[in-house]
Amino acid sequence: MRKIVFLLLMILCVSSFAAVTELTQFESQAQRQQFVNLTKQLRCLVCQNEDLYDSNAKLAADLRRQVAQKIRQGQTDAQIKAYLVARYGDFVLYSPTFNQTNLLLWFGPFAFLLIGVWWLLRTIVKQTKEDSA
Amino acid sequence: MLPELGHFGLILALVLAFISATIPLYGAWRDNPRLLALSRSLSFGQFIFVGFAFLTLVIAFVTNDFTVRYVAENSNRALPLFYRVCAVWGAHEGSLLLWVTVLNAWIAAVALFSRSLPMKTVARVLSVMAMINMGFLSFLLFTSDPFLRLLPFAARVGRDLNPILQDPGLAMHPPTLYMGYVGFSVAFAFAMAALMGGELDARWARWARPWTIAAWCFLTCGITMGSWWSYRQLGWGGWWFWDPVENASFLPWLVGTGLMHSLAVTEKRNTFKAWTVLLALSAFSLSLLGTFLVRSGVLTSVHAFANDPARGGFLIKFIVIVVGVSLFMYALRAPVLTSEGRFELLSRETFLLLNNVLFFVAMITVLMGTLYPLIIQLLGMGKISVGPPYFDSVFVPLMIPVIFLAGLGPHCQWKSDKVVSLFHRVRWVLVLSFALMVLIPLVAVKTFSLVLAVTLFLVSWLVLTMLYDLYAKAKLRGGYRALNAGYYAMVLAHLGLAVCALGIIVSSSYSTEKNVKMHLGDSVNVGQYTFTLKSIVPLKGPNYTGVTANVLVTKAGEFIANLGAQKRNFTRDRYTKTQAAIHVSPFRDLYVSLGNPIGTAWGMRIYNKPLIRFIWAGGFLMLFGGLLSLLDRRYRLISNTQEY
Amino acid sequence: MRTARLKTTLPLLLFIALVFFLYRGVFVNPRILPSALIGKPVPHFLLPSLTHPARTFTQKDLNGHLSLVNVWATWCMVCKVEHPVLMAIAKTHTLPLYSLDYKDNKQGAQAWLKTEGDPYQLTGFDVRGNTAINFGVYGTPETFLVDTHGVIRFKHVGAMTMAVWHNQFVPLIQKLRLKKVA
Repeated sequence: MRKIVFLLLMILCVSSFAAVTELTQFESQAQRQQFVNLTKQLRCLVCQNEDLYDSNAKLAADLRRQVAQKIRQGQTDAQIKAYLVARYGDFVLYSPTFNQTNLLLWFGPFAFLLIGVWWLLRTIVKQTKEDSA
Repeated sequence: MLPELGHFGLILALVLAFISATIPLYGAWRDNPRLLALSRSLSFGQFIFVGFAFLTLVIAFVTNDFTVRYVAENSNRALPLFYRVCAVWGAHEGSLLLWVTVLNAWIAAVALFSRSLPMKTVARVLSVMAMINMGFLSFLLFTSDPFLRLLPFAARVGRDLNPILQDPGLAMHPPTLYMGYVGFSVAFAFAMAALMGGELDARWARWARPWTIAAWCFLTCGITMGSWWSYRQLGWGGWWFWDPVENASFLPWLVGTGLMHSLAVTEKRNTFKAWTVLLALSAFSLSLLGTFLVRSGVLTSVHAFANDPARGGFLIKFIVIVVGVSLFMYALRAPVLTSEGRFELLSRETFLLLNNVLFFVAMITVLMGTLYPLIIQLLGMGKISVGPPYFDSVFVPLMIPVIFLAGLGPHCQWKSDKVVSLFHRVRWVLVLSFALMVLIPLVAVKTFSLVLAVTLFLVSWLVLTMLYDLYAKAKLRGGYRALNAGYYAMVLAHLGLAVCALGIIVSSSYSTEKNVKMHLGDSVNVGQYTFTLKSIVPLKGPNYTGVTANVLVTKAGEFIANLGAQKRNFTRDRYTKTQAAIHVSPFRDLYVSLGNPIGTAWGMRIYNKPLIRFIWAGGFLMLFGGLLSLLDRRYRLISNTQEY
Repeated sequence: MRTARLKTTLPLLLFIALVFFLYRGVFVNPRILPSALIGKPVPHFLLPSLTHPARTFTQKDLNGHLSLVNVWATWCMVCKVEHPVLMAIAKTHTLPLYSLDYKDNKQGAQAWLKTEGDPYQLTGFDVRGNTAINFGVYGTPETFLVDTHGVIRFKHVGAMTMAVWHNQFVPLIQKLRLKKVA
């Protein structure tokens, strides 16, 4: 049963790799840019490996319509993201939020780099000391 | 009959692998040369039987033998012969058979090109590889048998190959990628053999180095072609998505790149031996992890095969054994390793190790980002996504020091150097790079941004340091011919990195894109180019129908190209695929992708992507660098006898 | 020597931790999303009824009793598969069923319920799919369990089966009923 469900979810994504065709009208270039940038950071819930901008799933089209409408109303990225998170959870955000859960995710890489460089320096200094001793 | 023979071939190979994994190892322990001598012929035997099994599956596809379930599910009578052959690795079972075949090809290659090595080492290496072979042969036979029959209810026509795979890229991408993935098993086996024998001197590094470089070349080629394929294929011009499966192939590449550099230090300077062993173990462990991620379905991905807990369960147990045992051996043996070659803080060694630190951290970062959602979910802390915006923002900063140091490192002396003299050597290059950083935006691009400035500086820096180093070293040694292939390989690969980085940054920040609705005869301008929809004509292929939109591209009234963007409907599984039309030139691509009809008009996406070709050109330059270093006399596989 | 041993054992320890998660991950389906609305009140909505032209369906209809809200459509194959199960659940009279007909063809949907049976007290006709978006629906069919205060307690994505009903919904319903008595 489970298999059928996901097979069908896949079928919904069938023509998803086609270019998205409905056209959204905006009053200004800035709004259009906001729309593109924002929808590229949102994850489609049906075809889960596409962003909202490129997905051809029906739901993605509906959500794009809503996002476009909110942009025309002058809402900010944060407001629109909050609207979607309230409905679909953090899963819709391709860029994870900066919070306690994701602390390791955001600081990890730089912490690892510091540890790595520290380890390298220590090893080199230690072996030069051994030499001179 | 043939598929049964193929199946039987796999069973025989499993038996041989078992013998090869045990008897010669016992021989190495007991110093029995007759048992040791068995290991080569056992290795060739495994290769022959697996190769035969692979061949029978190819024949089943070519002859449309739809009594075989795997063939019936992944091929079709109308499918062209070329794709019928490629369809062998179009789904899980067959691609796993390809994986195993590739592993056996590496086993046979090691058996063939190891005449100059001590027999004990060869026997240990081949035993370790035979153990890996046993694991994958069992996985194939017990969970993913491609030879199962559909009798008595054979299919008449077959279900067809997944349309997204019906592209020439399928012929090259998976085989080369697997050659790379699996190729790291050789370095792994050498490291394990060295750990077993307690012979962790510089020799194992010298032996493992050509194999590592060869595997790295294949992996570089596989990743480059995969990215190029998705660019052409997916219809919206993306070339890298930070998809879990892409990351799975990128992880061993990152560590493999580190490994190549650290093998150089270990071999030349007899130092950082434990670290190099760990990298060799990690590279293949990450290949295994990647295989697990792709085939268990634990992560959502565009590529993922079906989610099957039986397969995931088997693979994870196998990984626990292989990686667990190797890391256990490492924990046991590595503490006794001491470094002999001493070096100071400012030295070539330090730069090479900094490279290692950066690449290892990059690997950990990508690994963490890939697995983070899974771990958070299992800890019951919710469900999150980690996608391209995250990876771009943490990965790119890590690459800045990589590029800078790739330029500086080769100018530094081995053992010790002086800050002043190092600066003295590169000061004009530094000045020139700054000049280019300012001049290029002023003269050519006419825009300025921080990203562009940093990119231009780093790329000029890397290119100029390499060219200057080449000039200086040639002068020192008395001519360009006096420099060895390994040195040219380094220069080429580093230039490749510069070219690739330039392509990535410029194409992603300066692409223009238009989403338009076009009637017949409509024109639209993208950059300096005018795109006119000339005609929409029906299309008929062997197993699909569709339409072609003919688009005329002009620039200031002059003809540039006729582009035929297609939409293909695959008859068998009613799948629609967008076939983008691309006009290629070295400095920009024009990319037209056909959408759906809107009334009497058609939706279309048109892109102008500057320097996108540089991404793959850079990848291939790195690949050629790797290939060139294989030609270096010092690493020749066959004729390095005189040195030992 | 001891610190050296610790350092070389570190990769093994990290690997063991990693494998622990990967092994558990094998048995979890990554595509299933938990609802962001669990523990939150049902979003406000006002939809025309599909089957009673004179009536409407709003969140107020869900107050005062436990209920199931199923999201379906006639173009959704899995919804058709689960329909007999929903019929069977309705026959048990455990709790009333409601539904949202998501982005559907009105005549087709009415005909479907007429021929196959109508397990729902009320069906909202959500032609644009906006109510479903407010419910956080991402793939039909989805089935919500709503408590007496109109708060969403559970969501199942995919076809409702008797196994899902008995193993996941029934225990939760019993728990919610007990809480009310106590």
